Amino acid sequence: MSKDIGYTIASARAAFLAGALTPERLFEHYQRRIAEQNGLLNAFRTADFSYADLGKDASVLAGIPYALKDNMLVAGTIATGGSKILERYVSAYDATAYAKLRAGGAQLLGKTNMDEFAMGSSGENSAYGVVRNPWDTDRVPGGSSAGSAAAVAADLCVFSLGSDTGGSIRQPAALCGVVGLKPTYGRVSRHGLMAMASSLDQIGPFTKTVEDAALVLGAIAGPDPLDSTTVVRDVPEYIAEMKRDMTGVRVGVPKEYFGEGLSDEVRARVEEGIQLLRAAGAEVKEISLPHSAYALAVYYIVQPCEVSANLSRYDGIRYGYASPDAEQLLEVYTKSRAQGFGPEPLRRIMLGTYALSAGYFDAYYLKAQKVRALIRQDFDRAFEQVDVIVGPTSPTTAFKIGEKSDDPLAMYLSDIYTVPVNLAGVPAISVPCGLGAASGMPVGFQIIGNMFEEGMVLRVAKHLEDALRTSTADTH
Amino acid sequence: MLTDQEVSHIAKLARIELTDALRERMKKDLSSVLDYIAVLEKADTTGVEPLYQVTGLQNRTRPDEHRGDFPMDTALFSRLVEQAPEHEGRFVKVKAVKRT
Repeated sequence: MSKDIGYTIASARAAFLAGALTPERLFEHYQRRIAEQNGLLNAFRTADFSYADLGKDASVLAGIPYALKDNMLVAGTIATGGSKILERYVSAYDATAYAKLRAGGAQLLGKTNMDEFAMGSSGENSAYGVVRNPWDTDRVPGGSSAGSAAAVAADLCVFSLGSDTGGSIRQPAALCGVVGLKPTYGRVSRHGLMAMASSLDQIGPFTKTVEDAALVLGAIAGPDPLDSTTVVRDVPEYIAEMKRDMTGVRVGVPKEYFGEGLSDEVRARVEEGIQLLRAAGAEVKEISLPHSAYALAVYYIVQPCEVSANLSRYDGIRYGYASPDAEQLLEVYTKSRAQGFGPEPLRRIMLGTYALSAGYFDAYYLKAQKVRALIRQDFDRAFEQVDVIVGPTSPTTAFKIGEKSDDPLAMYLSDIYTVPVNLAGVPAISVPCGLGAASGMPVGFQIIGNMFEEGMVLRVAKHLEDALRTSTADTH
Repeated sequence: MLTDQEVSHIAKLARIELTDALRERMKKDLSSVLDYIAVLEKADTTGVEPLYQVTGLQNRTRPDEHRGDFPMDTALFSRLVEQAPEHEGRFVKVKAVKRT
C-alpha cells in the first residue's frame, strides 16, 4: 500500500491562504472520507459533529479538521471511553485540551474508538468493535488510542488527540506509521480526560509530520487551574526549537532497548535511523538504563492500583450502566460492574485491588514505587550525559488481529519500551522510520527527552524525518 | 497460583460479582501477571524512597474564592440527575440497602 498522507496542518493552511480551499470544504472532504472508510476501519465511534464558526481567537489551527479519543469530554455529547458502562453517558463539561482547540478554531469531526478505558495495546478491547490498521486491515493498529492513530494514518482527519499512560499514543503511532507525541507529565491539562492511572496519564497529538506535532502541542500545552498537576511554566516556541540544527546534540542509545524480544526488522530500521542522526551531526553514544528490565513489572502494579481506585466511580448509581437484575444496593454495584466492564478493565481492577489489599501493600505497591524511583534515576543520570535517548517504540510491527488477545502478558510486552517513559514522567515521540523488511509494516523510532524538553525531542524527530525523506527519495 | 477463595475475596473488595467462568479466567490471568511481577524481588531498594509523583509538585493552592467554573442552573441540574439510571424528580434513586 502506498501512502498519500493527505492534508497536513501546514498544507491545509497554505491551501486556505491561496484561496484554493475553504475550511468548510475541507471539513466536508473529511466527512466524506470517514463515510467511505470507517465501515471497515472502525476508527471513529461517532463522526456526527457539525462545522462550527471559527472563534475570534482563531489560530494556526483555524479550520483544521481533527478527531478526539473518546475518553475526552465535549459538553452535551456522549463519551464512552470505549466501554459499555458509559454507553449513554453525556458529558457535563468540556475537556481543557478540547476547549483550547475549539478556541483556536480547529474543527472537531468526531470521537475515536479505543481500547476500553484506555487499557490495551491493540484496539481489540473496545465495546464498540475492533479497530483495523489502515496498512493491513487484518492487523491491529495498536492501542489504546487505536482509532486516533488509524484515523490519521488513513487520512480521515488532519490530526487527532490521544492519551498515553504506558505507550497508548506512541505504540499505535508506530504501528500505524504516524507521528505520536507523549508530552511531559504535567505539560497538558488532563481536566476532562477520563482518569485511568492518574500519575501516568497524559494527552498528546497524532499527526502526519513532526511540524504538525509541534503546532498541536503548542496549542494544548500549559497550566490549567482545573488540573492541579499541570506545571506552571511557559510554553516554548516549539516550531523555533524544532528548527534548530543537530550540531552538538548528544544522542544516547540504551543497550537495554536492543536486547532479547526485539524483532530483527525493527532493529534494522532503528539502527539505520541512528546512522541518519549521526550523519546529520549528532554525537551518538551507548548508554545504560540499568533498571529497564523492571519497568513493565512496576507498571503492572502501579497502573492497576490507580485503575482500581479511579474506576470505583462506575457503580451504576449516578451515571452509566446499571444492571437490571439487581434487587438491593450492593447488587447494583457488583452486577453493574461485572456486566458493564469488559475483561481487561476487570483484570486490572482485580489486580490493583489485590496489590492494595491488607497485607500486600508493602510487597507490591510500595516496592513498585521504590523501583519506579530507580527507573527515574536511570533517566536522570542518562540525561547528564545525553540530550535525548533513542530506540524502538515497540518490539514488533503490527501483529494480526486475535494473535495476542488470549494472552494478556504477551500483549503487555508490546509496551516494554514505552512504559519506562511514563513511570519517569519524561516526554517522548514516535516517528515513522520506514517499513519492516519482513512484514512490510511501519516501524516506529522513539525519541525520549528530559523533563519539559519537548523542544529537543521535536528537533531530533524533525531531523530524522527530513533525513528519512531524503534517503527514501534517493533509493526509489 | 491464586486460590478460588483469594479470587473471590478480591472480587468482593472490588465490588464485582464473578461468574464461575470469569473466576477461572481471572485466576489464570492474575496468576500469570503476578508470577511476572515477582521479578521485582530481585531489585535492591534498600534506602530508596518511593516515587509517587514525577514533577515534585507539592500541594497547589488557589485563592479561596468562588471561581464559577460550573455555574449550576436548572437545566444542568436536570441533565446531571437524568444521567442516573434511576431518578425521580430532583433525586437520584437507589435500591434498598437491606432486604425488607
